[in-house]
Amino acid sequence: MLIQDIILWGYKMQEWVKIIIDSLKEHDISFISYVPDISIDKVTKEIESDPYFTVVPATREEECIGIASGSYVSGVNSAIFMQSSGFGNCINALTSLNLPARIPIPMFINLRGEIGEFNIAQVTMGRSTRPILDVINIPHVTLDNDINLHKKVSGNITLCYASKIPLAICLSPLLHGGKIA
Amino acid sequence: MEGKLLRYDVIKNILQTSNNSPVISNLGPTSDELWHITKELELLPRERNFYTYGSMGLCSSIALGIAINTNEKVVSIDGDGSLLMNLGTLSTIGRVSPDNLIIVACDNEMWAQTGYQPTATAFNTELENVSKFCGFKNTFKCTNIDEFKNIFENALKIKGPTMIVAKTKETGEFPEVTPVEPEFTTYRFRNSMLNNNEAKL
Repeated sequence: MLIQDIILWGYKMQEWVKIIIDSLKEHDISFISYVPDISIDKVTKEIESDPYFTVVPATREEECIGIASGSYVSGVNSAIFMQSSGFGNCINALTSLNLPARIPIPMFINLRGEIGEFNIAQVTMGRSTRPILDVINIPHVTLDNDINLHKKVSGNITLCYASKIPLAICLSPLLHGGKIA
Repeated sequence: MEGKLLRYDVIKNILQTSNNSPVISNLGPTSDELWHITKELELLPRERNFYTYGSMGLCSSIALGIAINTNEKVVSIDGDGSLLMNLGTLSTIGRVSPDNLIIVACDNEMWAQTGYQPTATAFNTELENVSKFCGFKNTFKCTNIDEFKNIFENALKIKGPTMIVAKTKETGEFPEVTPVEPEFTTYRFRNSMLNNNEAKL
């Protein structure tokens, strides 16, 4: 990797973090529940240090769905951050709470099992995340290195609240650089 | 089995004493009884009832999300089977420590609706001690309705989070399913909270 690439890479990382945080604020999303992930730590760390946000780290991703849903029904928009492995812990909550009760929550899911994956245990759930979202009729978009990041994030959050069901915004290693072994 | 309480009496007392507080109910008979008792007390539609129909284990997680955004007392009517499925949420509640959250765990020591199979609380798990060591400010256990009434009346006054383990028994009768569409519950509950929190938002 050339020095210029590294500098450009660093700049992009700053930019995507800012875009996600700005988009959350545009939609009055001030409540965040998450289970940590090293690749999206850049966003969740910023969120935790920003007094605009109320942040609740949970023990399990399914719990995030319950907590964030409670926030929405009490009148405060919420979002969730997790990894694709943790998405596997959420499916019954999404299908038996958010879909029938029409509780819209944007979910930011870091996709494992993509380019550069080094852990066989992450492959199946990572690669199954989007097909499962299709089967349970939850819309999703994947962010990579394209130039329309803000439109993709903010526009899909608009869609999420219009449809009143959750929506997944998947983050690929092309966006954030992935996890380094 | 030490329980003498009826979940019915527990829910009735909660509705009679907690004014307009948000009440979140566990799936199955708890949500069904909540609706039927609300009707019996002529409190329908009681916009602050949040019935759940699925999402096993998440009743008190939902209540936590609500409690963080309001100053009102929030009551979660949960069950032993549900809490055992998501014990982690007790540690999250202990971590966040919302002083307005009351969990009433109707502990019948079994999965009643699926055929009365015993849960771990019929053996060595004590939910009030689990809650205590997760950081709940107050934990109580009760086995009859007079005890429950006193404890709950006190819980509405003190700073939480509070866990009340109500040792209940089953009658073998289950009411009809709550006839309220889940999306209608969301719409009505959220509007009622928005109206109340206008100044905050």
